[in-house]
Amino acid sequence: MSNDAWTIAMAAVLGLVAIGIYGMLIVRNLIKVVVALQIFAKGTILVMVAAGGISGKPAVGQSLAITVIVADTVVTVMALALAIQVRRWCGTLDTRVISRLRR
Amino acid sequence: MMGAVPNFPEWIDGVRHWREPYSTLRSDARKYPRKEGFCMVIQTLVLSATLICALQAIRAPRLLVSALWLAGCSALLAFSIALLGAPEVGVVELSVGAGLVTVIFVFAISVAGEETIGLTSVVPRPVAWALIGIFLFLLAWLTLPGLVSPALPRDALPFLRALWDERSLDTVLQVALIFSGVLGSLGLLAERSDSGHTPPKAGGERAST
Amino acid sequence: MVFSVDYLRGEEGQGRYYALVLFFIGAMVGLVLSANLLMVVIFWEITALCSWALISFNNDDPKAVAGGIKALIVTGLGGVGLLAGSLAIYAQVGSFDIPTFMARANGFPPRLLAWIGFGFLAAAAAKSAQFPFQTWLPDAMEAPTPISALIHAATMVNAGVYLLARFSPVFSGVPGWSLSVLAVGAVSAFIAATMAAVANDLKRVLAWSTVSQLGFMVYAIGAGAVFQSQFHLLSHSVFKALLFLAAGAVIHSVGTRDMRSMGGLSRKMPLTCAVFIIGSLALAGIPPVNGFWSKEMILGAGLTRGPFWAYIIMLVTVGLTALYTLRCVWMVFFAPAEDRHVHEAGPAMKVALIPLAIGSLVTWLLAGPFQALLERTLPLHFPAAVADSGGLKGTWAIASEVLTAPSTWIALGVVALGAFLWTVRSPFKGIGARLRPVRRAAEAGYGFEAINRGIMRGVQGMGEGLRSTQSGLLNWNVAAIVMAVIAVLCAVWLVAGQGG
Repeated sequence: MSNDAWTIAMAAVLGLVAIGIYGMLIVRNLIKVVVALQIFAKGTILVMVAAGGISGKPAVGQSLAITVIVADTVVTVMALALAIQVRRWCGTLDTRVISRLRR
Repeated sequence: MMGAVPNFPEWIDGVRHWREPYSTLRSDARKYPRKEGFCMVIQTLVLSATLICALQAIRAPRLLVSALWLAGCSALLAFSIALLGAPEVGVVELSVGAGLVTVIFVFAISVAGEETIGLTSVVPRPVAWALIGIFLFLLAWLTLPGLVSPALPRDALPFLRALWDERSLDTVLQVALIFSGVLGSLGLLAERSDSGHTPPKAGGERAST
Repeated sequence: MVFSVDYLRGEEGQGRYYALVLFFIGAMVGLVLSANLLMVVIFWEITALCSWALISFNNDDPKAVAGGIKALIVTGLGGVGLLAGSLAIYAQVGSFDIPTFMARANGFPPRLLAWIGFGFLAAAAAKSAQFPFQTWLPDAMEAPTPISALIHAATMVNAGVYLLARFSPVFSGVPGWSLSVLAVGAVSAFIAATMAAVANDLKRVLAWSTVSQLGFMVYAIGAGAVFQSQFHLLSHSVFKALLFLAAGAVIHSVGTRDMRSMGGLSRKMPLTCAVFIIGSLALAGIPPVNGFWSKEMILGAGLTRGPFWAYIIMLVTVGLTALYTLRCVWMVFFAPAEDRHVHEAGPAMKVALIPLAIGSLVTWLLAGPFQALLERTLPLHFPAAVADSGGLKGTWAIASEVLTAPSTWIALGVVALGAFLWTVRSPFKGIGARLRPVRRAAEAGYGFEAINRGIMRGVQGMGEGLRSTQSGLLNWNVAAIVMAVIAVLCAVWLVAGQGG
């Protein structure tokens, strides 16, 4: 069985994680930060499947991937609801502007 | 491990056993293991497309476009997961990740509205790149040795059995999580800014950035 | 609690007050009863937190807020010592169970045990307002008076003494530990007594006297006299709560805490005056009130087991105690003063005061049963338990022992000398004038005030500095998370590299 399939998958995981972190670091729009979080989570899903395959416990890896999908979806929903509230109260989604409300 | 759950319904064992990578693409995977090159190319292409979609989702100036790129990324990832021999996960990812989440995103964007926000980042870009570089280097350094070593002996635990039996606590918790998530977001959305408090305007600051 | 009903009538935020008081009591009970070191640490910090919130209860008053923060920071710093010691114990024993630790302490490396011992000593000194952390307690007197009575006289400050007493069998083997404890106690007792002798704020006098009496207890532990220390703790919590509540009644009706503007209250508030005098007798160590017995026991133990110089310090302190107690009573109740309208304490206050006064008169009778109880529950502390100590018979034995000990008569003589010095003070005016620099130094807290203020300012500055890292910017938060993950990965890498 080929290790190459998993190597490609892991490379894609690294790419997804990098793009997700980059988005969360750079982007200032709250909703887009959630998009970046989603991308990061996709990397996590892929790594679960791949890790299951590599370590010889594919079923466990896949069920954990399902767990990640569900948890991540709920987190996304909550984050978006919060973003809507932020927009409603602060009139903006810009993290830089929101942080000024602290003082 | 299998013997630990003898009274598990027989039909589940018959539903699904572990598949090789790419076995969903070729029915003769076991017979011609050498012919994997073609599948590898397809997988590389799909994953590259996934990465491009992800990048576009970050780069797209409009939120709606961004959400659609995300949906594309999700769908491609679902396909690639199915290629890797886990079609169930792929289907869930396709329906939830590409379907439900996209719908929610579109809903949220339509409620919150588009907003053009400057590209000047809070964290300086070199710092961001440096962080990501170190992070990726460490991740790769720590995980790659595991990839080079020969594959471990396979555990033939069926997927559904793993999901419902071995990890039943996870599954129950997921249900609770979904409920709390739904209730929480409903509560958040129901809370309106009435009570005489007018939301502060931040328009001037937005224009300047 | 009953007292508070009258005291706080008509004040705002009563819900907050009672909730915090009950929370505090619960934490205190947990602290004393827990056999788990980690729980002790947690309850310890909870009591500090409640104390802070209650001192700053009048949060419009900047002095109250400052006093609260001071108490929080100082006791919190001490808590670090306790936490560090507990973690060291856990690293060595693998459990937070106190009996396990006590049983296996002999196997500890001596240096580690010394560190733990001194960490605990720092924690206890900070909590019990002992030298050099003593200055937070008088500032804590901005709290409502029932709080001062409950927390800063009867319970929380005793936690430090309790901690020392509980672990004393383990640490007594550490070279220098007993001596340090003894010195800390003696120095605190003496310094606090001098400060009490010059303070003009009624509650500050009581606070310094608390520090002084706690110094007695710590001194007793240093001398290895755990029973005497705990017995004085019991007496002290009764008579000091009585004094504080009586003082609260006075302050409540007069409307000021400055003793110079009081006086002549003995006719206006006869009941309060009577109970205050009972409490003062106990504080000064005059028979037959409970403070006399316990204090004499401590002094007797100090003479036989402690070094002689510390005994001399304690004797001088006893004289000073008598002096400032008399001064306080005289200034509040008997000094000539202009006529003014004051009212006697309310009924709920009386209900709280009278049992405490009776308690001050009779708790010394419990000495025998108390000793038996301690010997039964703390076998490690009293390896050779006396079989016939128990019940009233034990009390008589202790009482006769106290009465026949020479130290008792010496101490009583010093008490009389102190009282005498106050009553015939006029010829000594000249000496008093010459001692003015000392007096001023005492008022300034002998410079320790400055040290403590420095610590406080440092901690607050650190907090302000750290606050700027809390930018509230989402992107920086993510950056911090990524950095943390990088740190974890580095650690994993290093560990994996070491493991092969």
